[in-house]
Amino acid sequence: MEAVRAMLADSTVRAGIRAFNLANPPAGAFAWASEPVERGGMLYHPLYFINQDVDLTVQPLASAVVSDASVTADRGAYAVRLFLEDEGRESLANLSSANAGNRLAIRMNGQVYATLNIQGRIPDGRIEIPGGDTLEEARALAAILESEAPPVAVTLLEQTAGDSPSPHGPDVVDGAAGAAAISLGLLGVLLLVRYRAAGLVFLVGVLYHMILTGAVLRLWNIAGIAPYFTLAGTAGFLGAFLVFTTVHLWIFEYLRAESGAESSVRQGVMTTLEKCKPALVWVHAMLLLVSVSLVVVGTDGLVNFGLVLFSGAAGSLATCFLWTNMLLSSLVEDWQIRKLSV
Amino acid sequence: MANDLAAYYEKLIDRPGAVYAFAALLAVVGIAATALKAEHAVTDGLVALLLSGDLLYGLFVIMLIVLVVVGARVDDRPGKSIALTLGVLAAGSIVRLLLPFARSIDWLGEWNGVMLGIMIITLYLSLRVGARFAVMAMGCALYTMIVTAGMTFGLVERISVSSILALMAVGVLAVVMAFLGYSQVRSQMEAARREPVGHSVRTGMSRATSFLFLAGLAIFLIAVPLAVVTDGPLRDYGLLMMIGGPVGALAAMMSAAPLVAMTQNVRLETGAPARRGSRRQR
Repeated sequence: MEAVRAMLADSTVRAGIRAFNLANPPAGAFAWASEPVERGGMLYHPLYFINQDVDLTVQPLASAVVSDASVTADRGAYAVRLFLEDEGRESLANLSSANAGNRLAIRMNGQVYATLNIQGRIPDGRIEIPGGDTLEEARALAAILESEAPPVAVTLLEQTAGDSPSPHGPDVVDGAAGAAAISLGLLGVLLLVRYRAAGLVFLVGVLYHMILTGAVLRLWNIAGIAPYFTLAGTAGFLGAFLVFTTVHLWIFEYLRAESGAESSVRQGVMTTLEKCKPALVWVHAMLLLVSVSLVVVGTDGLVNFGLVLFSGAAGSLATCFLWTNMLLSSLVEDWQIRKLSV
Repeated sequence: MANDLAAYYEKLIDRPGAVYAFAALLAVVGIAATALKAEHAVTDGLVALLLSGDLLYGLFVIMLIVLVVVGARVDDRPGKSIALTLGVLAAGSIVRLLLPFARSIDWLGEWNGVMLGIMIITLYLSLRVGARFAVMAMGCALYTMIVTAGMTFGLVERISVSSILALMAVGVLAVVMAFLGYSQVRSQMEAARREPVGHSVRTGMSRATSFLFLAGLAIFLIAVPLAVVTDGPLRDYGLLMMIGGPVGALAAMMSAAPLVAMTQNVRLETGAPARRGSRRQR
């Protein structure tokens, strides 16, 4: 078992699995069974390859909430009957309808607890899973499923800071939100001092960029590649946001220089937008290529970093053309403003 | 103020000795800051990433992308840049394929040496094909990453994969700032074709001074609250960006000095004049 674990942890094997997932969506992952099975006097540790089937109509059951779990006994074997809440019920109905004939894995703490054959559509949100060998085990399992937390005492033996845990603990999120608000405030002051009212175009563009980046991240999620927002992803997002800021400062400084050189505001803005376009396309193409190459070449952290950087770069490119470019040209062409405060 | 800054900057470009001395001083400060710390804690994840070869190969591929994009857009050498990139990419990929073999016979150090050698050869060949701006953009990123890592890793408790990725983001930022600065140079080169390229570099980069100064300042202002208010990995990111942003802007500004020296007697190559209509005029 240790040999297989080492094999799965090998970077070449992980790169192979990732390449397989990219070529054969939906993405899948290996997971061990929670307990070994005995066959012919030998103990086996089952290893499953689970497809994380996520699309627009079939939501993952990971989000399903158990409304009730009760223990049933039939012919000496115990089972736990689950009733899902409304949302989970609909998801299960869609999932079972799309995957009739396949097996459904029930995972807890990253291990496969049970697999069930899907006979057909399950409309009522009711599933029955094996509940262990004794009544106590079945009750304990029902309690776990209902409360979503193990009803056992947990002792913290060791705590280490790793790379992969999410940085979204409550304290970290609070601290990061405060820091982000101060950062945006300072950036806003800088822009308003330098560009006055025109700095607002930039500031609202920041919001636009964040929405678009979130939208592209969601697309990755729907495609089953699912970039979780890890520390590596946070680094990618921060990098992309700073690139967005840099690119916009370049546009506004260019505009400032051209406004002084051209006879009218309209001419200055149109010349700037025309001259900036090739460099903007090239710089974003470079960023997109860099992020794609990291996704293709790297593993784990590098992939997450690449995916989020790609999303941020795509958001920045779209913001440049769909927000800043269009708004500035509308200001001088349609609204015919005579003065731009850059 | 912007005009004063540009005038002062132009004076500095004419004194490359002072620029090189400042660059060396900054690098020494960075290296000394790291060297003064007796021990650096490195996470297991980072060791695994370094041993996997993914990081070095990823940096190599990024370097080639910068070569193609800057070489095509600013140096105006699209064909040569792409041909060189394809050649060295093939060589690098063969070396990458040999990684499991190198690991099995415990030659990981040698493998890293070969990969670094290919990267240095790529830089040299890029200069030979005339992709000067591409080499300088890569140099800016490398310099920024070294100085930033030197200054920051002396202050952080533990170096992890995420810190290295944030450092890569700093490198990407440095490339973006250099590229946008060089785009001004390119516009200037197209506007003044008869002038030596060195003259366009001087004019273009002095026009980009205010942008580079503001970009460095904006990144610093965005990163300071992260470094001060937060804790743990986010604080490390803040520190990296707070130092990396201004250093990247400085590196892009300082890159004008060697570029002026390299292109003093170079003129923009112009293609043969387009043939007019094939119909003979009477």
